[in-house]
Amino acid sequence: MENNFDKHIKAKLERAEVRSPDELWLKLEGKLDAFEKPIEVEKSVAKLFLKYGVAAAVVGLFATLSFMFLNNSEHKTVAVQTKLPTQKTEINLGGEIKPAVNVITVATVKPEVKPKTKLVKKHIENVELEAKPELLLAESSDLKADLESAQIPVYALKLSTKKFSPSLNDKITIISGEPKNVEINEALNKKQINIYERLQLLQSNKHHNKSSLLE
Amino acid sequence: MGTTEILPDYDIIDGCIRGERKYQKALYDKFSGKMFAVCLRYSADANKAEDMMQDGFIKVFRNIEKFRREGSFEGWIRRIFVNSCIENLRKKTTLYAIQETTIASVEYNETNAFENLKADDLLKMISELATGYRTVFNLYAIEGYSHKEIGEMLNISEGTSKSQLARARYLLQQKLAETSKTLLSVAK
Repeated sequence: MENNFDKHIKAKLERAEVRSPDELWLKLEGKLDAFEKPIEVEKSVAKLFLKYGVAAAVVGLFATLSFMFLNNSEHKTVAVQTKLPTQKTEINLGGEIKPAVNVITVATVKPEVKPKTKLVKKHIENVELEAKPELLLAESSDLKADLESAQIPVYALKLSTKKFSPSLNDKITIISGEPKNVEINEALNKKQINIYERLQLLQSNKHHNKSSLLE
Repeated sequence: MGTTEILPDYDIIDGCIRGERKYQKALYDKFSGKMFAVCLRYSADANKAEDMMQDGFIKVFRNIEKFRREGSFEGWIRRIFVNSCIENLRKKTTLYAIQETTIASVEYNETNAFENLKADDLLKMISELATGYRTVFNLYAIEGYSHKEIGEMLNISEGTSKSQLARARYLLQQKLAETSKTLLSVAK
């Protein structure tokens, strides 16, 4: 039951308006942003998943159809292997190389020497080598001087194996690319030098003609 | 009250459904005065009223697509605000029944008292009531809920609702009589 007192109050307050503080909207806006951002993020993530999901489905469908088409097709794909011409930089002169024997390859010689002059000892560092073959040759067999006197170029050796343990039965393959030394190089290249044999020859005849070594 | 252009309700509603800040601001500008008065009636102080105001508008914006556009838009917003205020108070307040016999009547000239009273003064008087009295009085005398409905809303018995209302009336009448006397003495 509504009495007069209530009626008076209702009449006064039902449509009453009170100005709210100006900063209240800013506070409310801040709260709204806080509420809306997670929803926006969820929506954007969902959109992203949808977008990439559809794209993945299309790609998958296309791949499946392509696979089915190619399998059913009479046209078979033949794989063709092509070989590109390669340029060999090493020349192995002489006979067969036994697997047990180390193959020593003399590196490319580029001395600035005139034809028919003494070959200058060159040492080319090869960082891949664990040992210096030149040194090992000299130390192990004390052949350095003899080799030099025989005009056998004791160049740094580029080895086909990293670990180098020379023996007198080792065979040397000489590579030369110096145009000026064609004659010498050709002569050297024609020989597969058996160090042991040549040294025996040198030791037996101290007056051995140097050029005979290359014969 | 606001600085933005006056937009029709349906434009505001559609804009708010789209989540556009411009329309949310328009809705706020249009109803903030009335809704702040509602919040002040249910709260003990202005700070709490501001909190209720923010909660109320957030609920309006988040539920605006549920408005069926059949009845009064302002009435729909007001109901959301009242429910929001009640929800806010329910968390913090326990209402207790009081004995009807302790309540006496106040002798004063009611008509004259109300004629000289401003809405702000009345709001101040209501805000000075204890939370239980204030809430029941607002729901019954201004919102028009029955004691049964109030009992369900506040999780109290009908009897408690009635006793709270009676006590609230008594206290308000006392305040009104005092204010009326003061106003009369000032006038003389």
